Amino acid sequence: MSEYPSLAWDSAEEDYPSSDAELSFLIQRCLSGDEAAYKILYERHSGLIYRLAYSLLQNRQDAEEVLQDSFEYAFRKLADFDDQKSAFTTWLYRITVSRCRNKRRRKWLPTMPLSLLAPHGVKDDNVRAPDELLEQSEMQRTVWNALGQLSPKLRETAVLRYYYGMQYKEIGEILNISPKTAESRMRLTHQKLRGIIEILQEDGTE
Amino acid sequence: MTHQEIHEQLSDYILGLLTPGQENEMAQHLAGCAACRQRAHDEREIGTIVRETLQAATRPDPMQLRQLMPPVPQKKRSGGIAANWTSRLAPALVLLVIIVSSLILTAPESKRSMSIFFASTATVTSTNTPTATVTQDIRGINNETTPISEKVEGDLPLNEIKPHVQVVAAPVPLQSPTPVAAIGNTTTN
Repeated sequence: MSEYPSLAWDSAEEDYPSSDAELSFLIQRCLSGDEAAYKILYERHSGLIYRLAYSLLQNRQDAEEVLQDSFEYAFRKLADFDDQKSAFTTWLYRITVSRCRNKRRRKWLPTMPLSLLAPHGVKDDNVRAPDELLEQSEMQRTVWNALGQLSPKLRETAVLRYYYGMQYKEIGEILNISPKTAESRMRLTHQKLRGIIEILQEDGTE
Repeated sequence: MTHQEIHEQLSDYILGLLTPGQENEMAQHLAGCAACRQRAHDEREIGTIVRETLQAATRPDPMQLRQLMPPVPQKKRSGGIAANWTSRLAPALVLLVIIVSSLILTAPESKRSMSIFFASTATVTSTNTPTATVTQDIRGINNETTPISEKVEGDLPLNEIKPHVQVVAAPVPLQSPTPVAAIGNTTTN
């Protein structure tokens, strides 16, 4: 089976990181205590990680917290990164996805009764279109809302495939599933998105 | 491939889930079928619009990103755990040495001798007139290896023979303690 679709999407980021050799050298500088190297490493990847967290959580504040948590962990565990096992970005994505899951879990499984939270205005703002989309097309707002209606697992697959243009093997590595499972999730994601978008479009025209 | 089969596989085609053989077959069909080509385009639009939406919605503010950078971890000092433990244990070790030293110095002399290696040998010769010859090798205080040898000869009774240095540890048993007097008895008779 081909991993290179004839109608594949391009890689998402314009500021994609540098070559492996340069990255490896940068990491070595970090490990030797070079603070400037940490800053470069962060600046090269923070956009990618922020976008991933924001796409998965659909909440700006949560995305910012996940960004900080992810890099705090990555800096601390940088010596554990093994470039023979995975690419640096794959390692970072895995850390980020894990923190997004934790954030969602903490958000939706509060330790106090829901009745106590109700007066404080707890609500699901996950599907609210961000301010940036107010200037965008109706279709983009529709798609944003459609992504919000996907289950977290399918949303992860959709973001990694559609936005980052990843192959199923890498999606499997990040989500800790087999490439075959990633494929079947993507098939389901596509079908659901198509259905949701069609319904939202029909609702919008009524 | 029928149109029905084509439609069923279109999403797999645009998601890259077909085998190379199926993909070639699909491409050939799409090249000659405008309706299926339009359908493939619509399928692909889902991915394209998702990507465009995420790109527009999640655009970061570079200034904000810089402010969110977590602190850089401080590099550990060379020596690591071993050096760290040594520095923590040093005061405790000094204190321990002081306590042990003061205990040794304030303890009674008899207690102190417990740590002293002591060895002595003695030869006692007894005759009709109780006289004795005592030879002692004493390894003294502070593990001095210089033996203190004393030879006591005279008319001292056996029960009055005492070493000049007080001995606490059990001495080595006397070697060849056969009394000369007994031998003398057999020869004089």
